[in-house]
Amino acid sequence: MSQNNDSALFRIARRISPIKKPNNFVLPNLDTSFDEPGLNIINIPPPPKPDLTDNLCLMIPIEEGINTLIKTEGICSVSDSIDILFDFSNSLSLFEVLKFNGKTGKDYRKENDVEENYGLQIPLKDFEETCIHGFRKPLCARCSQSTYSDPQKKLAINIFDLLLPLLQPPLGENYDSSISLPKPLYSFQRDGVRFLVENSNALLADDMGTGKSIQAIVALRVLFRMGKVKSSLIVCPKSVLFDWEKKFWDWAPELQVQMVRGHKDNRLVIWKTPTHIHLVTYDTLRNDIGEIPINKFNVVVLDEIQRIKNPGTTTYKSIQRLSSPLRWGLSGTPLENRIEELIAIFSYLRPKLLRYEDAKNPYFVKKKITPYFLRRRLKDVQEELNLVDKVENEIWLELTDTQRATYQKARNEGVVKLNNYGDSITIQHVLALITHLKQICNRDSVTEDSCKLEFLIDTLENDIDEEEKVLVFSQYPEKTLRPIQKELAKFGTQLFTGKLTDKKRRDVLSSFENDDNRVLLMSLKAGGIGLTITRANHVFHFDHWWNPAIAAQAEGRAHRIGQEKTVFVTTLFTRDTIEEDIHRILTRKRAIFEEIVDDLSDSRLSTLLTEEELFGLFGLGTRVKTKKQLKKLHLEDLSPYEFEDMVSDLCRKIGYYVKQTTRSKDGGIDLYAKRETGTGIENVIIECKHYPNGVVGVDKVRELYGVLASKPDISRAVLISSGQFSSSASSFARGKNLNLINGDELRGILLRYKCQ
Amino acid sequence: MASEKHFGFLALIKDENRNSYLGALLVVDLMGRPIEFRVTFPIKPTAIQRPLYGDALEPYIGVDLCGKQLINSVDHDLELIFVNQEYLLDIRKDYDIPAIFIKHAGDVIEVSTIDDKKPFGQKKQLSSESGRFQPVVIYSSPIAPDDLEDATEVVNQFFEDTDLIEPFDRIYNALDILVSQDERFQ
Repeated sequence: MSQNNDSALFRIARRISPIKKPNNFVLPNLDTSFDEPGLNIINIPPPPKPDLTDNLCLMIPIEEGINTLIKTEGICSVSDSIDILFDFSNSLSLFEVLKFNGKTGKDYRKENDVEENYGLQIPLKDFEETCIHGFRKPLCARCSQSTYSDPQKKLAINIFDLLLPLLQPPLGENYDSSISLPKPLYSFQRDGVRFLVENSNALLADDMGTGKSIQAIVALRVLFRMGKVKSSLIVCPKSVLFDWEKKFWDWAPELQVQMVRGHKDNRLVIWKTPTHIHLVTYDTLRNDIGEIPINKFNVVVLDEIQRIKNPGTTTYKSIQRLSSPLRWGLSGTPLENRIEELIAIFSYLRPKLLRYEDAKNPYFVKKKITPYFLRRRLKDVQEELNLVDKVENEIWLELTDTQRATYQKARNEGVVKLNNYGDSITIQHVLALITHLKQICNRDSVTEDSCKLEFLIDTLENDIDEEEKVLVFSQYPEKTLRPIQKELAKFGTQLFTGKLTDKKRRDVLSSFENDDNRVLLMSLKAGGIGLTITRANHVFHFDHWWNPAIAAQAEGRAHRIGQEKTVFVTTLFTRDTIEEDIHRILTRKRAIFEEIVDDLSDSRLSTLLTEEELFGLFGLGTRVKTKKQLKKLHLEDLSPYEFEDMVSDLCRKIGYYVKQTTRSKDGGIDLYAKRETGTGIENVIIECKHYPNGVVGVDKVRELYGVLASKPDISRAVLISSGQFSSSASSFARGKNLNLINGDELRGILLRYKCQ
Repeated sequence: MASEKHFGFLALIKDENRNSYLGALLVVDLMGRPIEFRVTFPIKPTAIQRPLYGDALEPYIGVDLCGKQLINSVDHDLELIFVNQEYLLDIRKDYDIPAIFIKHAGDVIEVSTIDDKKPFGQKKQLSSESGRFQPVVIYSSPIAPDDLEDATEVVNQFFEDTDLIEPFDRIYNALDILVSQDERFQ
């Protein structure tokens, strides 16, 4: 290196600090090994041996049984604890002791056992402490609930139990071939299972009693076994919550079911508990919807899906928040009144399939829902089901004299009251009067007279075998059922209403099924759906609901699979009462209901039980109802021809095509009117009698009926008067296709259709 | 008795969201019915362990950490072990049980893991005689090429009624539940 270069290096060296010797970065403790993972084990047991009857000779003391159990791995330790629930003085059989084993697995008896044994782990020292309420701590209900209630612990489920169904081999091609079922499915049920399995959006609308819930359970079981479903939600009415649980136990025992109920804190834990099936009532879901994981479920099954038929309800809105790729609905009566109900149902099952405007075109609705809709009528599968006959009977009774007096007084006062409401009158006012009158028809609360009860007692005593059991349905549990329970006590009568606790409901049903009790009084709402009560083969409707579908649902409790005897359904009516008026409407409605549900061909459902019908029951119009306004219609000022013209105009406004006959020699007919209905062409003949201040006698009615009889193509005849009809005229027309419209009713109709 | 034969399905599943691994072993009988099911808790390699182990990470976790422990733990003697990853065939080094890597015929095989550096012992395509299931290709370990012939007869018997790949789907479904519903597996 030259001298010059050396000096250059020197200069540089003066400016730059020497490079520091780097520190070694040492990772002496770098751990590149892995911890050994813990192992989780599921030992899959072989199929269990069949249950044996209890060997009553084999008795072991309970202490010994518990000691055996606590030595078993997974059973809680009872050391340092006191058992306050077991009575050690008693001995149980081994079978009983084993019932306490709640280690894993599912047992629908489990809940009771858990509830009864819950609280085993109470430290002895706690009994020495006095709580703020002045009791020994474990004995104070409020403290013990907060201290010893451990919902997590109570609900603990071995996660591996959830896996068991997923680990099963896949099914064969026939859905019922590889799954062990308690009994074979009927062929139509297999079709139903296949329909559900193959449809993400499905409405299974078979008649009640054909096993819809079983089909849904087996379909769920299939999907779980195929690994396509991991979590499911069943929403059902409260009355069938336990029925669902039991059916799951019977038909899909490998699936874990959690009923969501109890205190809200408990429910929130249940929602988070891993399980195959969450089972919840509509009411509970509505209350909890803000707290639950709405995207958690692979399948949502809505039992009695007609509960969401009304989009304005909170139940509907709650359900709409549930998101799920698979949505099934079950209902025997998907269409109770209006086609909009079906659209509301499908707005959840298959959103955007239908719009509410589509209600105008039922053919379109039917076409759209066909791929997602399966309905089999009971009568179609009755042969396969080997289902017994159902004999329906209507009994028309006369009110007792005192009942009649009470009824008439109530009706007269009610009508006056309605008229006095003037413009402020609402449907609710009318419904309240109807309810009051119907209750009197059931039973006069003042005199305690009841022609229906007399009939029922007489029938029970004389016509029904003592071995046979009876269901009595009414809408009025407190006003009707509870009072008559006392009168029927000698028959062994129990009451099932919505006010009963879950436990009490089970007790009542169990007692009715198994004990000597012959009569079960059931609130139509609480007991009308879902339950299976085939022990009874006589059904009495003490009164009738608006909707015939609900009555049919109630009958379905007894007339369903498992019933071995002919089912007798008896509906009690009272003559010349509001019941008869309603019955007339219902008869028409039932015919239309049957046609629409099975063949969506009628767009006029919305006209059923309209305001017109309701107000018409009391001779009232709907919109303008004051006496003052009614008097503005001076019918008496019209000539007979003008009266006839006015009726003709009215018919046109109602929607009829009208043809007036010649003024003279009209053959007893003033007008021919016809209109299209969903069921065909309705042909009507109308005869006008302008007797403003007079009374039309029975002779005129007979004449018109004679004309009607000579014209087989005519649907019905209407006799319209500006005055009144004699009682004999009204009596003659009753039950015939002959309608009488008196002056008051005519005024109401005229005002409604704004005819001046 | 034929039904006393038991087959193991050994799987290592990576949870991509959590960068963790779960090992699982499902033991079934000749009818495909589950007899035992064992799962490891998740293994989460650290950010340092990952590059240090490199390509050896998954084989190490699958064989040494999970596979051996799972096989040691089962109560039933295994006739044959099916694996869902080719590197799990290395389990054959430690056990005198035929091990077979199985794939649907026609499935793409990852070239990077099935290459010349680590050749398969033998491979063979099998079709279900019943025609109900998609044909499969089975591979034996390079250290035990005879496994293929030894296993063929029993595999054919098994393949009559059972989709040989399907039990792995059951394992995946079960692990899916575990991971989603039990914090200990997350």
